[in-house]
Amino acid sequence: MFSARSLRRLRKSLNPVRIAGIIVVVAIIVLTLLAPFLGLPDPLAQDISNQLLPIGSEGHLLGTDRFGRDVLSRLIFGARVELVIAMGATAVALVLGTFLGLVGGYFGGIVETLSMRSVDVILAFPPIVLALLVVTIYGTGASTLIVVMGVLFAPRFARLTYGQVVSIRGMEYVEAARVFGSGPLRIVGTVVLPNVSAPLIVQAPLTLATSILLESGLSYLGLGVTPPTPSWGLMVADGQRDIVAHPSLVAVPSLAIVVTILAFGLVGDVMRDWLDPRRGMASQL
Amino acid sequence: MGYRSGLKKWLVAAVIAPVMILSGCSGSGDSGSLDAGSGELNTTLRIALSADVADLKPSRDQGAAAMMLDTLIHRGLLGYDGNGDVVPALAESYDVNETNTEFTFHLREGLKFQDGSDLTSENVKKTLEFLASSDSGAKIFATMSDLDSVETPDAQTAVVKLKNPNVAFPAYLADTTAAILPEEAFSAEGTAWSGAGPFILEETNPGVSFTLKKNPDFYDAANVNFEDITITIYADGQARLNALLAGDADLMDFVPWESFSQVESNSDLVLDGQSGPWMYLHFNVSNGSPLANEKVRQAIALAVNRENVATSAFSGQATVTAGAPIAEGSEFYNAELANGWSQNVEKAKQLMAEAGYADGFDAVLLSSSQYAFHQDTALSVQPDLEAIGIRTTLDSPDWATRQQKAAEGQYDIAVAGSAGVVNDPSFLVNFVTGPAANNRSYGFDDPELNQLLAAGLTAAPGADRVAAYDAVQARIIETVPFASLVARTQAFAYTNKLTGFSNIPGFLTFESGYTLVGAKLAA
Repeated sequence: MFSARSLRRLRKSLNPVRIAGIIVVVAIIVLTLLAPFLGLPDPLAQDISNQLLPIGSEGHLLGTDRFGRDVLSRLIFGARVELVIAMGATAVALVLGTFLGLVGGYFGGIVETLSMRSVDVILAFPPIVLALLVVTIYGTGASTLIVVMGVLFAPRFARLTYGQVVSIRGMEYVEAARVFGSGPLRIVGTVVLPNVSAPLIVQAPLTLATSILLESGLSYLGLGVTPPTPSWGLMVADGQRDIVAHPSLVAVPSLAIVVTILAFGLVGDVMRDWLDPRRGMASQL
Repeated sequence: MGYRSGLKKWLVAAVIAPVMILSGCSGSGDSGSLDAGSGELNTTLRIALSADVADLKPSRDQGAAAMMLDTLIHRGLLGYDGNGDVVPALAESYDVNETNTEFTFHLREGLKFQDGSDLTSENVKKTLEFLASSDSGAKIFATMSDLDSVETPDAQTAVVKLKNPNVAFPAYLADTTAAILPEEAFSAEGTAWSGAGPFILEETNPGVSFTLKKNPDFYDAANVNFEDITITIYADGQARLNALLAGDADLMDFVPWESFSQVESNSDLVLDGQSGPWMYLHFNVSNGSPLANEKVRQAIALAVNRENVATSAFSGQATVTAGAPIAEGSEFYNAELANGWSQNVEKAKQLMAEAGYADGFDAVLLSSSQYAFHQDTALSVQPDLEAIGIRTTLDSPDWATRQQKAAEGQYDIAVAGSAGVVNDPSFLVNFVTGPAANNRSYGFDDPELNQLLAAGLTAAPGADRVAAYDAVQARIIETVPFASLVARTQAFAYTNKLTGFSNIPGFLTFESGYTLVGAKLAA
């Protein structure tokens, strides 16, 4: 993977904007990992006598909300929640989608009908509506969100895998493996999967970005993370009441959502150009 | 470039000039006007309302939006004036017997429903009997179930007999819920879009607006100064306020608390706030729950920091209520009992230990994410409960789900906001006893408290009644059927051209639409 050619492609895929994106992603991950050791105030601790402090107040760099909770602390601990849910959802989507695409594409026939048509069923629903439905039935909470969003995002991996598998299943090296007497599971696992994995890895950060957006949206609507757990979507919803007098309460978490999604999108672009050159040639930011 | 900007200026002038001339001539806005002797009046009132009303059911309606429409479309025997005093409406006058068990209502001459049919004592009898039937689901059923009979000696007279004395009976009949309804309203659903009120519903645009026009047959039509009322629904508080600020509305209900100062700082607007509905916690006290223990409930009532609730959920626009919710101006107010639950965390911890829960317990705190102030109230009391060992998980679904869960007992502690039907303390009965409901503790029943409340209705007005309700309040402090938090300020905002409208104090704020009869809007 790290051959000289690969490194050359990596260098070619970078530009200042994309490097900034990578720095932001690394910074977010480091901050969320180190959050408990940064000496931040407890994100849940209320102090009504210090409510609605402006940005730059002493001890509260980004001010406080209407409960007197530290905004910076809620932002960073909120990022933890966002990332855990988004990564969980992406992992579920990756595993489920790849499995459906692999078996559907390799075996064809009834297996393909079952796997790919169930993917069509998921795609037939607008994502937010389906998420609303499931969350309303099963209640809010992080684990529900991970499963729901994982299922919602599985089709993009399933279709990607399916297309790749169909195009390589007749290739000579697959044929060769069959001639040597490998069983279908072995062929799918050791021959087909490694040859279709690059676009899937590229898809992961993009799905991560979409997950963050959807999670924020659901939390904003009161259907995501359960308060008082900090979450960016919840922070936007809470701040909305004070938008006239204290616009920063909405602006800060909104900006965090925008920057994070953009950064993950840029990382996705880098990985596409690096690992999946055939798809990457077309666009260069 | 020069030519084009010159052309633009000319066009602007061409458009503005006639408008200026026209408005200068007529001296009025965009709607019709009529000369009423004392200056020009605008005969169209535009109201920005906080919620849609899908189904108008006068006997059951609660809350700002539906009750606003009820006061405009319907009318009962009695009503309220701007001070919250009971005044005659369809009934010109009434007599009471000495024991407060027999009320004789004298209807006005020539009353008509909006569909043109006559309104007689027969309609009064049918309406009151409907409200007293258990399947009507009427909001004042608890009071009306005491109805013995309604006699109609003639078309103008209705004699109402009660099984037990009730001093406050006229106040209940003044509520919108006791509107006299036409025949077709007595179905199981109780829907009635037409009644005997000052305005007739002309057009409904579901979820968007209502158009009403003056009812020429209304008994007090001479005092109705509006030919039309248009009601536009703005569910979002800031959007509603923006409509008022932009001049798209003359009156708005339910001003968001965080916007009070914005309205007050605008000299063209009037902020009319009254201490109104009250926020409280209620409990699931079914068998086996720690909350079935009276000491645990006392501990909770003593543990909560009510100032924090007022500041965080209501931007300070609420007054602390640390006892039964009886307003300070009421003759039944007792300073000591009204502060019976003043915060005392040490005593609360001690009570928890005495109850055998020194290590605390886990509980589900039910609220709703649909109303920010409900969720914020829950978030504000959460750390207070934690301080005495009650570790709560917030359950914050949409409002309809919250109501269902509360009615079915799927919670441990719930945040609620409610108002009594009347300002008379007899309203308390609705919050301590009766079948399972979404606004009172699940499984709670205190026979002694029920007896004290019944005694309050029969006590002679004056010192006896005050003493009776002192006993009620003391019992509530002890058994904690609910833990009061704050009385929130409920405000209307309107243009200063609107006169005569007023926010009726106390729990009657949602009846304020009554005062639109007689109100005027200057052009």
